[in-house]
Amino acid sequence: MKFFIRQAAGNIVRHKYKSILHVLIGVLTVLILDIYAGNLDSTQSQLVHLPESMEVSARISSLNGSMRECLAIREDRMMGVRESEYVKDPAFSVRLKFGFGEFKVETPKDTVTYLNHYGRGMNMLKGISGVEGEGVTFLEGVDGSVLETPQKVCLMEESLLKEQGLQIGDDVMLTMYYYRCALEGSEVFIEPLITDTYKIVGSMQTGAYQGNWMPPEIIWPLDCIREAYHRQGLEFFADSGSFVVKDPFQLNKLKAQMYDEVKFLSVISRAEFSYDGNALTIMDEAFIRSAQTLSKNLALLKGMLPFLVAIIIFIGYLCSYLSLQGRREEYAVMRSLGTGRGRSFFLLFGETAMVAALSCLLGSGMGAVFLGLEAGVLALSGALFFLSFMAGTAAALLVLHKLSVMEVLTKKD
Amino acid sequence: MDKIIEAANVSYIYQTKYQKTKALSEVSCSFERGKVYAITGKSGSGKSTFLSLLAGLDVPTEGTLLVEGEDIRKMNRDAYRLNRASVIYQAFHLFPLLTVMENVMFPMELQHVAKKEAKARAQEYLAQVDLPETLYRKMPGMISGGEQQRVAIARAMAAGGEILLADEPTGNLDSQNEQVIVNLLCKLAHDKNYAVIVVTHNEAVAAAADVVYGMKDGELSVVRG
Repeated sequence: MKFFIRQAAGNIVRHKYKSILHVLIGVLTVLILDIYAGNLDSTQSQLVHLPESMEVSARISSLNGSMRECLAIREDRMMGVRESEYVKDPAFSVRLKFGFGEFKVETPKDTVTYLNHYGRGMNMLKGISGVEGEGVTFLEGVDGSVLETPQKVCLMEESLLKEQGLQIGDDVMLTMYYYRCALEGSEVFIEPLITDTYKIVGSMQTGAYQGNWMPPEIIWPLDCIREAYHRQGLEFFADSGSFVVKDPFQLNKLKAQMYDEVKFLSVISRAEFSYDGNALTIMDEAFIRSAQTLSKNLALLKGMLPFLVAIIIFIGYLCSYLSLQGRREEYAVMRSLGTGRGRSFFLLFGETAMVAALSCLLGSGMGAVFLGLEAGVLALSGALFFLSFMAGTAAALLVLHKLSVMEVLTKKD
Repeated sequence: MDKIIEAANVSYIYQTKYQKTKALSEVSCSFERGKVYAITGKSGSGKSTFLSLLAGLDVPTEGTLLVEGEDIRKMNRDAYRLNRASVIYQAFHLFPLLTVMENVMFPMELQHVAKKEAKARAQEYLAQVDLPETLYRKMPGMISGGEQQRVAIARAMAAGGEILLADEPTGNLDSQNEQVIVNLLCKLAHDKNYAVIVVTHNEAVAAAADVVYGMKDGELSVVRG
């Protein structure tokens, strides 16, 4: 082994110009492979991380798609969405009117006098634009997740809190009315819901509110309101709903579940107006288009691999063949001195392997410095080059093994 | 006497895709240690083919070639060339990128002789072929043809064999160097007990041989025995 390594290393130095040329060809090939492997890795990574960079969201609407809020979304549909394993961040809300204290609205004047505030039941603050982050202050030990519970608590708008002389942590009695939409036609009724006491667990600013309706002055946990409906023997309806698709690569499964099991319909723009929130629009066009483009690119790159391997094998064959043509005599002398075919093969093979390994190291180093590629990508391109190049070398050596030693050595000069 | 190689009815046919050429036809002869043999004949008569068979670079198509009673077909012919038979050529065929010393050490490296010992032995062989010490570290291209052939002989000796095969060893040399090489070959046979077999056109080489065979159209005959 030591003999082979010494001989091979010695030959590399002795044939230094050929070795340098081989290394240059090798480095160039490794760099081209680095670019290829980098593209492959980047495309693969873009595809894998596409759901993070391009969220697919869905929104519940009326059948003709004209309304996305102020709907009547059946409770079973809402729970179908909230309990789905394919759904992330389901956001539902229900709008209410309320007033402070206990009262009954019997005349239109009572509405103006008592029932003059707007509120919302929500399961997450994300569901309402402009009311999130720094504008919200919570009682110590409480955070936004309180909206996911059925606790009898609320967040109150800061100016209302001041106007009523209340503080975070206080209890407040409220009388609430709900909107009942006619499932056919366009009538909306305001009906009494409940009078109850709620603990104020936070305050909010609604200056940045961007919704179509009145900014909410109070937000309750959605399930707290839902329970209030149930306590009153009322059927619960949410008035808006949206969610994010957890894994866009499972879109088909999600669609099957939403349309077949939860019984949502696709939007039919010619349908008659209705408040019924029974249609689901999944905004997946951009994602599908991007995923298809990336998949096509990936397939193309992967399809190129056999051709690249064939080209590198050919380069390995050609380099070794041309180099060995000038060393036929050396090979013949080695054979005539008793170096076996196997030994001769491994001596020349080892020599080329050292040059190829050096090319790999230099090419990978340059790939890391100039192309900023990761170790895994460099290892892939390096291994691809080394194995393919050496396969070509092996083929060239097998051709060399066919030569007649005597014919080469008895040529008279 | 001590027969080392025996050829019995050896024939050799070069076979290509389109034709067969009989290069050797039922050659029978024997070679002994301690003698110089010359095989003469015109170009294409089959001399070099016979030499390549003797060197174990190929095997006879027909007939038997025995080395100390062992059929060459059944031998490990790489080991045979490495340890028992060495060949020198008209064109010297030294490794051009190894020094004179490294060329002589090469067969010993193949035999896994320790580097220090190989170096000492190489110096000894180079001294035996009267090569000045100043040339040991030179590349073959920097020394004369006669000196190169002496290095080739030292390399053949380094393998430690007892059969020395030479294909036109003086073909590229002037008459002065020719005589040095002929004397060296004779010395190896007579003093060191080598069987030296020389293929040659050169009458002076043939004249120095103990036995001369003539080769014509692949057939071998004794010219002087």
